[in-house]
Amino acid sequence: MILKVENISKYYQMGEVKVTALNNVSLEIFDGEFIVILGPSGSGKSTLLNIIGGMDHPSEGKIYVSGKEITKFDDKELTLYRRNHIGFVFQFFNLMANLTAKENVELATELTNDALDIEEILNEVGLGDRIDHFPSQMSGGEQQRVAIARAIAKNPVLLLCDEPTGSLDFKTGIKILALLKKVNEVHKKTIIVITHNIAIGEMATRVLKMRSGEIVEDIKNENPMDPERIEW
Amino acid sequence: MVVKKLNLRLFRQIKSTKGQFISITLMVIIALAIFISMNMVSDNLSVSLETFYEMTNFTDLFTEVVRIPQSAIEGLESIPGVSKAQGRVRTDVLFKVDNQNEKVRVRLISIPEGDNILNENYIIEGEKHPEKINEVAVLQQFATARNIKVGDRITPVIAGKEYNFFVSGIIANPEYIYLMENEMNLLPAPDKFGILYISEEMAQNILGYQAR
Repeated sequence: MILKVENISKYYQMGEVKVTALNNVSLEIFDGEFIVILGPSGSGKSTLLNIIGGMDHPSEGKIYVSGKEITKFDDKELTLYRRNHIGFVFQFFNLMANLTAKENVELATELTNDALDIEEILNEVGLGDRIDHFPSQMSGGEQQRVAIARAIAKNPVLLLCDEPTGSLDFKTGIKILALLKKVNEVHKKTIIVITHNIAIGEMATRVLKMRSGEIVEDIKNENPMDPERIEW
Repeated sequence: MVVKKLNLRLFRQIKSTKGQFISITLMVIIALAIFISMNMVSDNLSVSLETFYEMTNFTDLFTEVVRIPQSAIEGLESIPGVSKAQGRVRTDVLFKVDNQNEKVRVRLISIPEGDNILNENYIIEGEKHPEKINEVAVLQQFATARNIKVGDRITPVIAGKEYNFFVSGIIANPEYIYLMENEMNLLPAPDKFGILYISEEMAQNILGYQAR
């Protein structure tokens, strides 16, 4: 078991009002799974992902990653955790505008000890001939591929993706999902994808449905669909 | 040596906004230079002032009475905390000038005999104290404004009578670094009001005060 979430709650106190983002969430995730967390806006999926990724603290509960309790980490340990064990892919890419594709990936690998070969990874994501181009010279899909390369070059334990196809068109989105599938199968990476797009759930090995800060359904998918065949 | 990417990003950012970066750096440098200069000036002025006050024995306290006997002044020195008390005579009188329509006043202040005088004069030119009778020491600001030099003759008008005084010195005094006639007069006109220092003997002669 690679990730154990135990009774996680997150709320915000706004004066008199208590806003609950996550309400007593528990789950277990195993090595090599491709998890898709579905849910409408405000269901708490991004909050959960951020807490798993060490970018936020829960109000209550514990999380164990590879046996270590990350909810007990102080700021320094949390930084090291994010740096070495988590790869994050964002909806809006978040690349450095004045670094080339290769340098963007290098930015991440310089910080870790266990990095993969940069040019190899960029070739794998299909950007072998774009390594010296800047983000402004690339399309959305290409930028997202750089972001994915950056995330996996670190050789993380978990690859977390927050709406990775959210700002891409249908065709490009499919390509990205196919790439993620490849990373899951070939590199044996555990991937968690968050989306509100139900169609994407078809390619997962397991789908978690969230609503109002709780997990309402946990469905195992025996026959995950090939991403090329997904339509939305 | 391989440049860290975060640093590389910084360099490129600076390069792409070179103009802004240079102007900000320049502003910081100029501001620092101005601040440091002002600071130094301020320090210098403070030290100058303190030194001047030390040198001229500037008094901590002033008081004005109509009359006081000398013995009473000496008595003040027996009060704990008082190291020296000094008495002097002063009065404001008219000053005769060529232009009939111009009204100029001067303050006559007596300088006591002896050593260790309080609020001592600081020589600019000539003598510090008027030695002979009819000699005066003139405050620098007034002398400059009215073009009075050592060796000149000036004419204050005291109780209706014109007196002819000989300028024996141009001096500065810690009481009148900023020449104010009284607290109400914040912007002095040094050509309209001045200070003349006279000997105690002369003050008693002219103004009718007797040492007792």
